[in-house]
Amino acid sequence: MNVRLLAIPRASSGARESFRRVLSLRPPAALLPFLLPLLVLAAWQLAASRALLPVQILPPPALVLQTLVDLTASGDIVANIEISLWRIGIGIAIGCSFGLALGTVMGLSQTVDDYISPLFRALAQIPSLGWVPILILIFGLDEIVKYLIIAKACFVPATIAMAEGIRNIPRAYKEAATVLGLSRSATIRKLIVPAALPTIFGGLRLAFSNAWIALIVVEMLAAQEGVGYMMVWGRTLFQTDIVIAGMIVIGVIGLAMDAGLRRLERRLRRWAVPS
Amino acid sequence: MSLTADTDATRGLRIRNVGKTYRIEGRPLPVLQNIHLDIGPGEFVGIVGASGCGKSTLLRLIIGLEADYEGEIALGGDPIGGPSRERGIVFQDHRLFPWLTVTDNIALGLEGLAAAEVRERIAENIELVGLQGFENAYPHQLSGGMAQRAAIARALAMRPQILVLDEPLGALDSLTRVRLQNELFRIGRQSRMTMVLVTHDVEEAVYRSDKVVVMEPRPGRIKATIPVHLDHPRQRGSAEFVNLRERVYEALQY
Repeated sequence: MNVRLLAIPRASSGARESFRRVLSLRPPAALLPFLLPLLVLAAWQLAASRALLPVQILPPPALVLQTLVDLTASGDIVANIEISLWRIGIGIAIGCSFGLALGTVMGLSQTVDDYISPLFRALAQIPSLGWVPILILIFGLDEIVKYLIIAKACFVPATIAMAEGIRNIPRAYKEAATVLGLSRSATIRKLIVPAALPTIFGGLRLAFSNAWIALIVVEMLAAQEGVGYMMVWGRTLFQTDIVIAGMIVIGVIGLAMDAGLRRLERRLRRWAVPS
Repeated sequence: MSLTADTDATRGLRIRNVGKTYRIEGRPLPVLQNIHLDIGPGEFVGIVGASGCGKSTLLRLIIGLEADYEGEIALGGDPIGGPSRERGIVFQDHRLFPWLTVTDNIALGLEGLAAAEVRERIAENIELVGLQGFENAYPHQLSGGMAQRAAIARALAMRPQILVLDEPLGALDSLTRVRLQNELFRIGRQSRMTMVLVTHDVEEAVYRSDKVVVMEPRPGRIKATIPVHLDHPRQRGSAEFVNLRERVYEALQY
């Protein structure tokens, strides 16, 4: 009797224990990032195979994959990616270099900041795409319109991040630099750049993602080639598989660029406290 | 270069009738008033006083971090108009740049010197503060005491005529503090460097200093300057020592 009374709770606690063990069973960390995409993929496949939406609107994953393979084989997608990357590259180069330069001046000099800040902030409020109509009126559908729109999209976050990064350098460090008799150039190299680096990189990553938005929209509005144009073309043909293929391409390239930036930042900030 | 005779008074630090007023919301707030102080070359001066008595502000004036003040401060006859490598400071917080190694932090104050000289001074001062083996460590890899040693090495490497220390050891545990105090004091005596130490520790001030300056707050003034003419090493238990220590404590009461 006694034995049975004791045995029952022991058995149930054993069951609870094994249940807990199942809960705590975690896949290896390297697999974690793929878990959510796989779930989405599964849901997509399920929705497509149950035909919840017409196939023209929601093509099955296999069709999109086939389209990706076909577009790659025909060279269409590669050509479009090349054009888009070229545009975004030039736009980012112009926007970020001007932005970082202006941000540096604004961060270092209160006077310059006082002169420029109100106008800058007003212009920054206008979404990049708000510039499209007037730029098309001036330049037509020329490539320069795309460069300028993308540049503007990067310019604002790059400027703000640089200026904030410099302005937020702790006074304690600035005083230390003064007391140690650092020259202007040494102050920039040894204090300002490393201290502002995390803020700058935050701004650059925002700039890059803004650049992608601007690129795709400007290609949808005013281009005859590029990934964005390819997507518009797919939509007009009612070939949603091409649209989704374009989305996948943008996602993968964007992710790669962001990872590249993170990597660069980690490399430049080797000194940082490992978190 | 001053043309007057090379006496202690002209070679040392001369503070005459110095006052400093901050403006808080448009209203003047005097933080220092009527400061007179002469510090001879090689002298070790301890400054004690309640918080808010302007000790740190006085150090900042000596270093040249505060431009706007009344009165006159001169080192070796030359009025102080801004920071200079002749005058070094160790802050309460170490203020090492976290992105530079110990070596590179020390090198900050040696810009413009020949590379061989820079290397030599870095090695010399790292050894002096006992940080051998940590030359390439980043500040976050050091303990509080070690970081403060690196900060001291950084200030010493500039070979200033005068080194001011703003409670540099206040945040350390008592064991580390006493050891570092001993080392600092030894360095000061060996190099004949003038040192001004702001501290809360009356006993230490009396133990180290050639004179102890007692300050009182609101506005910050010098209440008493107590010379300590005792030979080193001093006996903390001796009648003269205890007597002097009591005089400092008495001056601190108000």
